[in-house]
Amino acid sequence: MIKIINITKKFNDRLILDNINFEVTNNLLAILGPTGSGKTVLLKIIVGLIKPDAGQILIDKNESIGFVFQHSALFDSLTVRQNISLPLEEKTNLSKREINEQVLKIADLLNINQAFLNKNCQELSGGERKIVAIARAIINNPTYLFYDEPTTGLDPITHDRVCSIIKNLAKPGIIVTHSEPTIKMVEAQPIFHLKSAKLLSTKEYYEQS
Amino acid sequence: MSTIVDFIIFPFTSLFSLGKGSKTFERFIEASYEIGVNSLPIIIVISFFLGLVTTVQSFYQISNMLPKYFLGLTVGRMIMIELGPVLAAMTVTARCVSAMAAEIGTMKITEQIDALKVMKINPQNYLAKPRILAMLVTLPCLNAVTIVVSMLSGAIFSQIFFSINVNTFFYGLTHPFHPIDFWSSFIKSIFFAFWISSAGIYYGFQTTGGAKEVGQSATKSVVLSIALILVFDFIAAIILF
Repeated sequence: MIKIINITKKFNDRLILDNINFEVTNNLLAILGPTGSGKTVLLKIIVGLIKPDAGQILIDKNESIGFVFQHSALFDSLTVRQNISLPLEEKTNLSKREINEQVLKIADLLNINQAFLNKNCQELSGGERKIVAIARAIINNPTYLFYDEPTTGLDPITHDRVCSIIKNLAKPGIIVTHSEPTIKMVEAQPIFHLKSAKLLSTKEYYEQS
Repeated sequence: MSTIVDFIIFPFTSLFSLGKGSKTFERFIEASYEIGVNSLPIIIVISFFLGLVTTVQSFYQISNMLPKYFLGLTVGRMIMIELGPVLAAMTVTARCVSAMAAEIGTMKITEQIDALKVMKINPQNYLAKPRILAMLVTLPCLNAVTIVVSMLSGAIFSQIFFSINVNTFFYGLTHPFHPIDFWSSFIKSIFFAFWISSAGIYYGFQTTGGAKEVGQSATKSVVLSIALILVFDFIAAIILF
């Protein structure tokens, strides 16, 4: 379980997150909010990339987090295969054969073919990059998966493909987006709204609107 | 003040950062190839003309005053002690240090460094350590190439244009021979390598913003590297001679 306790963050006196509290358990939880509302900041605080001004994050020692970045954050000088296998290459003592087997397993799960694995990441479209980013995030089987705007800028067909991948993976974690159709397609529950630095439940959000 | 302290600490924390040794070695080989082998053509061209210019200027200063073998002595000492290590380091700064700052800066602004952190891969071990080690190995080698090519071009030029026999030129080069002249060149190269690679990588890691800031990081890394080369050159001159 991940516990987010009293998280507050300001940037240049502008309050971005005000006393945020919630828990991530066994569901894919959604946080909806317009651009600039602080969704990405919240995710980055939880994984330790940004320090909060106040509050704390509690994560069990043996639990891990995979992260799908908004702009995919792939290593363009590497191939798709090298990008996906990077966490295993760097953090495990698996042999080349075992790593390759693991990559092929993930590729199979996400409908990625052999030719695609050998492509250079510079050649990929936005949607393809998202799929590779998801593959890289799940290769070492993290406990939770965080998605930062996973469908932004995608055409409708790729949008639906990425959503169905997220739904079928059924990994607990957090998805942050400004798109309500995405939340519906991935069947995330519960849904929170980030408004004026506060995290509101759907009921509270509609009461305030 | 904290920036200066951060910069001084940065290469040490990078070198002592933990990661998978075999992968660090692979990246070290890649970086060594990029810095060492790919810099060879420009180093050879610059060294060739460095030898010519030094020979012409030295001949102008000593002709009709000193024995001919003094040309080899003067050119040899100037190149070995001063011009070789300084010009090799400056060439590598222009070619590789700016590229390091730009590459790592781009990785920073496109969240690739954040991605490494989330994957629990130490970015300093992944990006900085192999590059610093590669620079420590390749810059002294490039310095050796600079010295050899410059002296050969100087010797051949003085034979053709000043009628000073190559043997006479090389006699001056080795008489008198002080081992410190030779070693100081490589000691300087190692110091330069350590700090200029650190400057490029450090500014890359400090980049925030967009394309403009990446360019600024590359510029700052070059400016700082050149300043550090000259400062350390002066300090080395005081300590070693």
